[in-house]
Amino acid sequence: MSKPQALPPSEFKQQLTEAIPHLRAFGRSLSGNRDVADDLVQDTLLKAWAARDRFIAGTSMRAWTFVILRNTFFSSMRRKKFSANYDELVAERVLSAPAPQQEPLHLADLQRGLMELSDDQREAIILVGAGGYSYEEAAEIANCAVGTMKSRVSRARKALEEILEEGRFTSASEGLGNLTTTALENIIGEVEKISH
Amino acid sequence: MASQDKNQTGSSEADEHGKQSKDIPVKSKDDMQQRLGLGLKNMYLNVLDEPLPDDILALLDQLDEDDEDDSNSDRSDINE
Repeated sequence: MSKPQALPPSEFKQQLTEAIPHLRAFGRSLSGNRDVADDLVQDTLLKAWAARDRFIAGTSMRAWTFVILRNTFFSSMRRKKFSANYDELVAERVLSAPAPQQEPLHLADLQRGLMELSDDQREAIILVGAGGYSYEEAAEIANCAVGTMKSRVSRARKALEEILEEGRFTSASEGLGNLTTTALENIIGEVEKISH
Repeated sequence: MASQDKNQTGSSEADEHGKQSKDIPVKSKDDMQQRLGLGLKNMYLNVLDEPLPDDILALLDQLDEDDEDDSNSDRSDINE
């Protein structure tokens, strides 16, 4: 069996550069915050560069770097370096062009809604619903079974619809003042308590 | 529009104070799903369309330069 080939440095840099907009979009949706997302992207680029010998030519750079970004985000959240939160700067942007009688969907509402989801559901709906990944690709990135990914997406969609329809937002998705009390951190705190 | 009425969801009922609890009008389930799907895609695409921040591009260039410096110093080590 032949050894998998690494990419030449210039090609690696080229592919990594092309992945950056997608990394920013994934990071922004996951964290709900522009600055946090860009910090995440920088961390991801540093890690990807350091591990470039392990990237196999012909495989997806985007998927490879998404794995690095999501692992960085979730492990940093456990150490509370990053917090999932929504960005008020984008509060007034309108996302979907509504039919005449419909209310437009605001980015702020969508981002706040996403922050209300559990981290695995949020990741699932971002990858499949926003990023357009197949269930198989998304499952590979999130390191779970395809069936699990399908179920996470379905549950996330249902929960998000309910949240947006009812305007049911909690402190988990409020402004930056609530960084220490996000639902996600509470969950992580509980998990840490159990594991000790 | 009977079938649409069946699908109606939303929260335009009056609350305990007699006010409308939300401004969101009653919508069909399909409509909500469609808007959600479109909203998620647009949220992602909006970021793709943004210009890349200079500091991110500078970081990549810096990493690349550091590599070249390292390989040049390796070569000079060998030649010494």
